[in-house]
Order: sequence, then C-alpha cells, then structure tokens
Amino acid sequence: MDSQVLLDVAIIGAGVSGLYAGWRLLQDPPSKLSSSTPKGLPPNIQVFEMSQRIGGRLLSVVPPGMPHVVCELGGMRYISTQTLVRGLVEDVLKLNTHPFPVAESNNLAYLRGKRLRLQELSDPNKVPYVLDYPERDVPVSSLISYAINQLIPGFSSLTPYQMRKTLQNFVFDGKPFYKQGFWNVLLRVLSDEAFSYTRDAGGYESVVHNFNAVDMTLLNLADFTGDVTFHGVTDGFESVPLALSERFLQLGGQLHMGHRLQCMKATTLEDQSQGVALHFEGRESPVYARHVILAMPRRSLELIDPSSVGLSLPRTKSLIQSVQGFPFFKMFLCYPTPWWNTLGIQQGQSVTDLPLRQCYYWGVEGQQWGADPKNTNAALLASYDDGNNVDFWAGLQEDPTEPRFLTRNNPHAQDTSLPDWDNYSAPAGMVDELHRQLQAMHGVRYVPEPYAAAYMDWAIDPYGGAVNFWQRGAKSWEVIPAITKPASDLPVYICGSAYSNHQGWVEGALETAEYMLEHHFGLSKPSWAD
Amino acid sequence: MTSSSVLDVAIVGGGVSGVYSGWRLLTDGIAEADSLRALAAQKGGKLDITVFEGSHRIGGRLLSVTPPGMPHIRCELGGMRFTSAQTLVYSLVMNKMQLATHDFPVSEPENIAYVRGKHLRTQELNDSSKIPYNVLWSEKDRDPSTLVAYAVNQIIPGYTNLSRQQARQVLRETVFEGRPLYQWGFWNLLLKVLGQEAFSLAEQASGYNLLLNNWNAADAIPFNLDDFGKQIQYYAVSDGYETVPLTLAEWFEEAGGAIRFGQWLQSFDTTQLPDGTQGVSLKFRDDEGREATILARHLILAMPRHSIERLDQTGVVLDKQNHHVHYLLGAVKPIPMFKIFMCYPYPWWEAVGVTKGQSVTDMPIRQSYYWGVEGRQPGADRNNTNAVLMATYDDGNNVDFWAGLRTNPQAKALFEPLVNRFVDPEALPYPEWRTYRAPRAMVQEIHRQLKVMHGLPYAPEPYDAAYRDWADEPFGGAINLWNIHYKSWEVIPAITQPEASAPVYICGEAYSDEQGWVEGALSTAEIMLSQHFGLPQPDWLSDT
Repeated sequence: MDSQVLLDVAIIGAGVSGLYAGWRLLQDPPSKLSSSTPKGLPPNIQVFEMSQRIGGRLLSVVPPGMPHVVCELGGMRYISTQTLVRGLVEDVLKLNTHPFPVAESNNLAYLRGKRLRLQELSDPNKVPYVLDYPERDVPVSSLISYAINQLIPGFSSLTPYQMRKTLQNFVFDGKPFYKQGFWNVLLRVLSDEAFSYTRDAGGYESVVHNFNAVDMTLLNLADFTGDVTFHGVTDGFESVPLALSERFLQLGGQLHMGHRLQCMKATTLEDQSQGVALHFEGRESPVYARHVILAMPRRSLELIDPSSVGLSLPRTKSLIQSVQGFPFFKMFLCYPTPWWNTLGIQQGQSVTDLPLRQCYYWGVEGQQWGADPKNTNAALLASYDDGNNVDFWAGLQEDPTEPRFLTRNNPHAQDTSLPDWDNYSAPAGMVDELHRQLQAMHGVRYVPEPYAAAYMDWAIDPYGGAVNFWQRGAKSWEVIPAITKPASDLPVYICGSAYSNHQGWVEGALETAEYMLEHHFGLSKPSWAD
Repeated sequence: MTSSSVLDVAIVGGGVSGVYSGWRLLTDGIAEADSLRALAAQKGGKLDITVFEGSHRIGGRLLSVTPPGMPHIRCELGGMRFTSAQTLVYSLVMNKMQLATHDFPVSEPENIAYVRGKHLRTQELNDSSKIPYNVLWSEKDRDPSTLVAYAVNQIIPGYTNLSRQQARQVLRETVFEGRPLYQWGFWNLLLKVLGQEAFSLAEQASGYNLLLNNWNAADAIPFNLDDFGKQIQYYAVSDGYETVPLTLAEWFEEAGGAIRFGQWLQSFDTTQLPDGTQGVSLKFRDDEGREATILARHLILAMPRHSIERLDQTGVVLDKQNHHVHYLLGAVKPIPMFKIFMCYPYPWWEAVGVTKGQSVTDMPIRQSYYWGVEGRQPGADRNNTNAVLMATYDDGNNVDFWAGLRTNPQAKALFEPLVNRFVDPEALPYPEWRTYRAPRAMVQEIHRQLKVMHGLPYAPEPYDAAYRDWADEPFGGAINLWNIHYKSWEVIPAITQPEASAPVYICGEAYSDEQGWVEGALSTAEIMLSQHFGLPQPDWLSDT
C-alpha cells in the first residue's frame, strides 16, 4: 500500500460489525467524511483483517458428502425480535432463511441417567429433580422468568425497554442489581434443585458463571417476549458478512487480508488535523487514517499494543475490561444415515448433563431442496457447550501430535478432502468420545460410525471466547455508548457484539455499530431497522 | 561493594519451603555438605543466608487464626492437616519439633450428605436404593469414596494393591487406549469407565470439584488413591499449622539466618560477583516503593507458579525466549480454593446428631467441617459453648459463586461482629482474625445454605466470620495441579534448577508430587538441597 495514501476511515476486523460499518459509511457518506474528499468521489474507507477469511465468529462450512447442507461452526441463528439483523437479512440482503427448530416435544432430555421426551418435562413426577412445591408447575424453560418475577412482580409482562430500565434501577437486598452475580441472585429465589434443573435442561453453563445480574436477566428474557421464532440463513450465516463485503467493495471500499494491527500512534496530518498512524505486523510503513474503527471483542483489543493511542487511558482500559470472554465449543459429526430418526427425532435440540450438553439434529442431505433424495447422509451439531465443559474437550485436543480424524469413504462424498472443512478437523480421540456420549445419551445399541467431523473452540486467539458477558459491577448502559468512542478527543471507535445488549448475537454487533455510526458519524437510522 | 555484602544464599518466600531450606542449609548444610562447609570455612564457619518475604508474616499458605471468644481454638484458613504416610512432615512435626497434635476427623458415619435436594447420612451413601443417583448396575452399592478406586482398577487391574513405589512406576508406563496416562485428562479418563451418574456421585460426595478439573491423570490417580485402603491417620497441629513455619523461622534465625519482611522481588539475573565468581543480582522493592539491589551466590525461589510469573520476565532464567524454563513453569496450573470460618454461640448442628468431621453438599458451600467447641478444649472454660464451623471449603467453579458476594474490603458491607458473652469488648481486637473479615452478604448466604444443608429452619446467627481466598495475589491459587501432557517425574527434578547456567533454584508445593500439601513443599526442598547443595537426608526422618 502506498504510504502516502490517507484513509478517511480504517476499519480493523472483517467480522459483521466492521463490514457493516464500512458498507453503511459508503452507502450513506456522512458530511463529516465527504468534506475532505474530492467532489463526486466516495470517502476512502478500507477494512483490515488479520486472518485470511471474512466473517469473524460467523463461520459456515459445507460438510463432505452433503453439498446442500451448511454447518455453522460459529453463530447460527437470529430471533424474530432482533430487528436490526432481521431487517438486514430479510429486507436489505434478501437472503433465503428458514425456521430454526429448537425445542421439539419428541426430543430428548437425558438428565441424571434418565431419558425423557421434552414433553415429559412438564410432569414433575417424572423429572429427576426434587422441586419445591410452587416450582413443580413451572415449565423448565420459564424457571428463570419465574425467579425474576418473584423479585420484580410483573416483570415478564414488561416491554424489553421497560425491563431494561427497571433492572438498571433495581436494588435487591440493599445492593444494586448490576453489582450482583446472576448465580447468586437465582439461588436466592430458586431451590438448588430447580437451579440445577434450569442449568442442566437449558444446555448452557453460563448461568453458573455468575455474570452481571442485570444483563444476564435481559439476555435470558428480553429477546423472548411475545411470539418468538428462530431463523437460520439457508446459505450459511457467513453469507451476511460476505454479502456486506461485496456491497462495500462495489461502493469503492477496499479490503486487506493478513493485516494484523500491532500499534496505533497519534499523528498530525498534512492538513494539520489530527490522525492516527496504524502499524501492521511485518509491514514497514504505517497506514494513516482520519478515523479508526476497532470492530473487535475484548481479547482482540488486548492483543494490540496497550500503549496505542485511543487504548492507553486508564478509563479506556476499564471500559474494555467491563466484559469477560467466555468459551464455547461446537463440533459437527456427519453420519451415513440420520440414525436418530429411529427414536422419532427429526430436528431441533436435545439436552443432557453429559459433557456434550446439547446437540442439534442439523440436517439430512436428501431432504434438502435440489439434493439427491437417495443421499441419506446426515449432520449433527453433536456438541454445543460452554464454560467448564469446554475443559473436558480441551483435554482431548491439546496435544498437537494427536492424530486427526480423517474423513472416511462415503458413497456420496466424491472428494474426501474439502479444504474449508478440513481446516477445522478434530482430533480422533475427541470424535470417539463424542460419538460414545451421543450413543449413551440416545440409549441406542448401534449407531453407525461418523464419516466426517469438524470443530471450533472460540476461546483461541484472537477471539478469546465465543461470546463476552458483562462483569458484575459494570453498568452496561453507560459502557455501551461510552466505548463506541472511548476518548472524546481521539478519532478511535470500538464496536462489536462484545460491548452490546445482545452479546453473542449478530444483533449485538449491528446494534453497537449502528450506535457508533449515528452518534459519531452523523448517520441516520436506516429505514429497514424498525 | 565488598564481598562480605554478598549473600551466600538468598531465599525468596517465607512459606514452609523457604524457611525450611534456610534452616537446613545453616544447620545440616554447614555440618554435612562439603561445598557449604568449605564456603563457611572461609568466613569463620558461618554462611550469610537471608529469607526475603513480601508480606509481613511467615507462613505463606499456612495461616492459623484464633477466633474471638474461643481462645483455645485455632482455625486454619490455609493448609490444615497432614497424614501418617507423609514421611517428611510427619517426622518433622512429631520427631524433630515434637509439637502437640490431635486427630483430624473427616468421614463420620452420622455426618450429612445433602445432595440433589435429599438428606442422607454418610453411611447411607453406599445404599443405592437411597441415593439420588441413577448409577449403573455394576456401580450399585459402592461407597462413593471407593468409586475412583473402582474406576482406576478397571484401567490398571490391581492398582490399589500396589506399593507406592510400584504404583508410580506403573503410572508412568501405562498406556490406555493408545495414549500414555500422562496424556489423559483425569475427567476424560474417568468417564471412560464410570457412568455419568457415578462420576457425579463421586465428585459431589467428595466435597471437591477437583475431579472436574481435567488435570494430568498420571498425577491425579495417586493424588486420589495413594492412601486408599491403607491405615492412614490424619493429624492437625494443635497450636495451629502455622507453628511449623514459625518454628522453622525461629531455628533459622537462631542458626544465624536473617529474615526481611516487606521485600517484594521484582527481577533477578546472573551477574559476576566482586570476587569474580558467578552469582545472582536481585532487585527488590519495599512497601514504600524503595528499590534495592542484593547480590547472592545462590538464589532459591520458594514460591508457586503464579508468584514467579509476577516477576519481570527478564534475565537469563525468566526471559521469555527461555522456552525451556517457561515450558517447565507451565507444567502446573493454580487452582482457586476458598475457606470461611463462622463462629456461633453454640454448636447448633448437634441438634441433628453431627459433632465432628466433614459434611458435604452439591450446593455452592460444598463441604463443612465441624471445627470445634471452645468449652470442650483442654483448659477452656466449660461454660463457654461458643463453636466454630469451617463453613465452606470449596474450589473450582464454586469460588466464582462466592466471588460474586465479595466486596471491596474497605467498604462497610463487611460483616459486623455481634455481641457474644465470651468476647470481652475491652480485650484485644483480634488483629489476625480481623485481617480476614468476610463480607456481610457472603456470611448471610453461607448461613442460609448451612440451614438448608442441615434441614434446620432455625440456627442462631453467626457472631463472627473470617475467610481467605487463596486465588488472591501473590499466590494465584491455593494449590497447583499438573497439566496434561507433562511428565511430572521429569519436571520435578528439572525445575529445582531450571536453567543449568544459573545458580537459581525453585522449590515448593507447586512442582511436587504432593501438591497442596506441606509434604510437597518439603519434598521438593529436599530434592533441591540434595541435588544442588549436597545435603544428606535429615537425621530425624523416620520411616512411618
């Protein structure tokens, strides 16, 4: 790159929030940027990505032998109440979507050595948890709502906005709610058994990780008010950032892969205005920019030289530390037949207290539109787990000399080597153990061997976790606006799902990017966002 | 600088392994190790050895405090016991120090296991018709404390009949499913042979989350089973376990050693001493921020992994480019553990028939020990019914539950002691106890969980409480556990002098095969003293 070139905006990170911000700025160039641009030309906006791929924590791969199935190793769905992502996917990008099934009454809950159909969980006499009298009539998926409603009567009938406001001002037991841990609070109103039941049947461990009670309450309840549906993007959720990058490039933006930001320094530009010099690893001359958008989570921010302009102030550091990265793990297994059909299970989620915690019956090739109907290959999101259970799987993946699970011959897999899939190949010992647990969970004697496997543990650098959660004591409603421009006199901005009201969701990435664009670049709210 | 201002040995860390090493070097070292005797001969038979301690107390993770209103009871906020099989500590306490000890009860048949919302007595745990765990047919009616042994015997038939030495050898050589045991995580391994329910039972009834810490199976097996089926006795030191390092420190000073408090090591490197020989230069900072440089012929770092990693990672040993040293340091992982003691006006738990030892639960308090009743101690006032409970002792993920109830120690949200008729308000303010005051919200929540665990709607309010979370600086964890893929038997001797070109040694519990025990601290100190200073075994050591 020509070192003389001065960018109007440098965006670091080609995940959803970075590409979205780039596209929005070019589509609707704010006067703030066009003042320095020759008339008729778009502002000079460039995205820099450290890896060789676009998408960040959205990662869609096609398994061998199933050309019409897309497996999501990262984010996999959105909720109908998430207006930004829904508008973007359905109205702007016009991508094909499909309903994303979760709780199907016929699916399994294998808990405490007992197999139940999800519909049987409503029968307290069948459930292997000793519940208190009033808890017995509460559906397990509503126990958190039941708990919060005891603290704030009528809470679940509030609008999401009212919920937020109420929780921000709520004082429980003499202490502001945001200073309390969610686990601590739940144990005050739920029995230990109801709490264990919620955690085990919910599929997630994050409730026992005691994050900020305000935000964990909202994460569990706010998006789920009213009639809620889940949706997947048919060609893969990754096609959202890919489509955004295409539009960004069409409008004159540029995208640079393999650029790892090391350090940012303050500089005075030729026109005497203030700018930033960006130093990338392995590149001699810096890139100059009037504005820098860091579209990344906490761990990625912390991998940049901490003395960098815009990051070095103690206040900025404490804003960055107000969330904590949290590990999640996903593994897909491919089978020659959907063997779970013999149990009457077709789709959606099953849960267990085994370390695999939850699985999703992902799809059967022959049932996809346009696919060979004789192809019975089927994919399973065989484990989706978080927190302490990630350590179980870590024990089976740490040794780099451990043999990988290689794709086996399958009548429908012409080529057993698919580079995108093989990038995420799993250790053989991990696949064996997961296969064993799936068999135990479903209680079937014979299950065919998996022929392919792929996994991703998002705790690795530069992600530092699949999602980020608000720490106890953080006022997210103050941090969220503040961190989009952490120092008022410096042209450095931060966005992404890590510091949002929808952590771990694409909605959070868009929400913070939108806030930044509207408040610091003068963009107006897009029409499709309602 | 004259050569007389060069220390012969600088020891950093005033915990057990540090003061023990200092004492051994100044006594048996001068008397029996050739190189030390020669060195001392040049200076009138003396060696200059100083222990540098960052805090203002000796003892490290041994911390004994006397609760208000119970002058005859010592509460152990840190390490609390040793076993008759632990040769070094047993001989040191019993033979050499001749300290008063008492039996330390653990498992009592009438104690409580409150798991999955059900109250059981410990003796009922081997009755599968009563336990709320859906164990496999093959696992039925087994006492949960034997489940780990049952599992390991499936992997290594006859394991629990092996001698300690045989067992160590077998663990190094065993390959299970194509992988040597040290490449296995203990959790991964156990789930191969135990059902999920038996695993949950073993973990929940033990009181610890350690099984879920997926640590090195070759070390986790002996950690869990070394004493299995043997006639093992647990002991506590009656005046407090802290008496051991305090006595060692006293003997060290009597032998001419010096102890300096408030000295935080910042960095160190090898250097040429004024007499032309190689030594070490150490940079310290004191509480006022004053820096000082000290020269020494030898440096002993008697500290755990986290404390070493707090130092500047510079110099020939700790430089980040020294991959060998950092590989060794990375072999263990600090584990948070947390203890709280609560004082009550009377032992209300006796209403349900429990008096001593441990009760367990799957609630975040995980385990309680009925610690003692003042009036029953020798020499105490019989009318004083005050009683103290080690109300929770937990590790791993549960520490995060209690972290949510911790507040800034400066804040007034600390628990305010209540009036107690045996606590004289005019008397000493119990400075040691009060250093470890607990937050009010934490005390209230533990009290609530204790009542649930004991099935009692009423229990009197606690009148005082003290707690310690050993994940706090500078320790980083209460104990350390071996990471998967490391051969501990190779790391243990290697790390006592991690960089061959530097006279710098490491000892302590962290890199031992008795992690979390005083025995581990002493055994690594012994390996270091024998390998690098030429000391013979101590003469007070007896084969127990």
